[in-house]
Amino acid sequence: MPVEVAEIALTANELGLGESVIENSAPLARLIERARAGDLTAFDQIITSHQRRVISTAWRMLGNEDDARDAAQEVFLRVYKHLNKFDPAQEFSGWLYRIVINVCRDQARKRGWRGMMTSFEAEYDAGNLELASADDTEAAAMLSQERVIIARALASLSEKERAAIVLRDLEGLSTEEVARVLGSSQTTVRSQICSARAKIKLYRDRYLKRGLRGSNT
Amino acid sequence: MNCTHIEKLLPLYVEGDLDAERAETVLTHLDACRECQARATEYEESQNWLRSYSPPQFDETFFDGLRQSVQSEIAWAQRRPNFFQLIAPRWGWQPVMAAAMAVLVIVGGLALYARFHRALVNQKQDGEMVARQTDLPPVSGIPNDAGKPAGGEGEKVVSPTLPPKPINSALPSSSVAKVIEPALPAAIARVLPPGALAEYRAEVAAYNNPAVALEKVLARFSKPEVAAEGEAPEPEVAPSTNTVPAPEMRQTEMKTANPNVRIIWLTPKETDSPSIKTSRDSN
Repeated sequence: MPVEVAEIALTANELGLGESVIENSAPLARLIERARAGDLTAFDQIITSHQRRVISTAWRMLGNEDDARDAAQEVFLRVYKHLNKFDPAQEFSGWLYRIVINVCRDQARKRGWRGMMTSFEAEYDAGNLELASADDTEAAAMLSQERVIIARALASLSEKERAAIVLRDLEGLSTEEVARVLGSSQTTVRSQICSARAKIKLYRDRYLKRGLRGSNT
Repeated sequence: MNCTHIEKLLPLYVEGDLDAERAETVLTHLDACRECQARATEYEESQNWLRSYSPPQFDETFFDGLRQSVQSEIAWAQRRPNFFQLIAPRWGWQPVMAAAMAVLVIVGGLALYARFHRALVNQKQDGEMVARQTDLPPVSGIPNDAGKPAGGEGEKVVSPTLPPKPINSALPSSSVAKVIEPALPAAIARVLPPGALAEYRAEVAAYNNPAVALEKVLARFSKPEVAAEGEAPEPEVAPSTNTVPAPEMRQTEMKTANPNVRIIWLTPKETDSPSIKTSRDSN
């Protein structure tokens, strides 16, 4: 069973399709059944096949590694706890994303918006936002600074706008999938995305203007 | 469609989120409007800027740690007994419920006992207070039958005590403390006309002031004499000159219809008897 899962994952990556091909395939459905019966090995494989996606989304929502790891742990614990309630007819990734968004929202509320800003700056100061493979130090520093600015831009959005734009523009879900995950209509999601993109652009424009003013002085 | 409308649609247009008809409208406008075309380009750059926001490269150690922490949390949750298992690990439900009921009965009984005990203590204290009220300064002179006070003017009559308030209690009537009948001072008893005792007690209960009650009774019983003499009894309040009030007590002297009888009312200094003021005012 583990071999079968690994082979499918390899094929999906080679095709550039990521983890989405594993959706509701026979191996995943069997893993879910076994995990429901209490098989922790099966559940471990479920974690392995979805952990990158969960960490990536949590990191984009929360902005730092520690919070993303705590959120991911909580996500998988909730998945295990509520696996019996999962309807096999629906997409597992959609259900998983919903849990990720809810956990990230709860965590962000605990910390507050100020806490989120502090964590982004702390990450930048600690050098955790630098690209691992950047050879050019100056370029790496600029990229890290860009990340901080983008993180601030995302943090300035409302919860729903941030969730909508992260799922749509960064995770690549369609408007319909985002609507299903967030439990909203497609019209509402489009409105939230439109508003979020306009705010991000405005934030970037102000950042660029400030940068130009700084370079001119 | 003007530029304002187009600008509102640009965020959706650049990512292909518009329906075909509106996308076509926007495209047509952009072909003709350089400003809107520039704005569309800015939106595309902004989206590319946003997409550069990628998470750091997490290594396998990080993911191994994540899986291990999830697994250990699950294992701990499975091992941890729940509340009811902690309470009754091997017993059945019935002994536990019986023990809980017994605890409730004991606690309830203790609460009731504490409440009754407090009520009994309050009753005792009330009784002691009433008994203390009867302990007034001794009488310095009692007018004799001849009408002359033994020690000159301003002879005192022992101030009668206030009747105690009836004690309300939640206890059954058999255990209610008996209302203490005030001891009628001998001086009052001598002054009261025959058959006026009941009326006097009624007036005391009504006015809560023995001096006023006595005055009323004496006035009522001496009215025919006063009418014959052509005088109406007018009780006066005169300050005493020869008597020395007890320490911290205020002395008020009142004349009655009987010139040989004066009522001296002793009250604590901090309180004034409103009834005495009322009788003064009425004069």
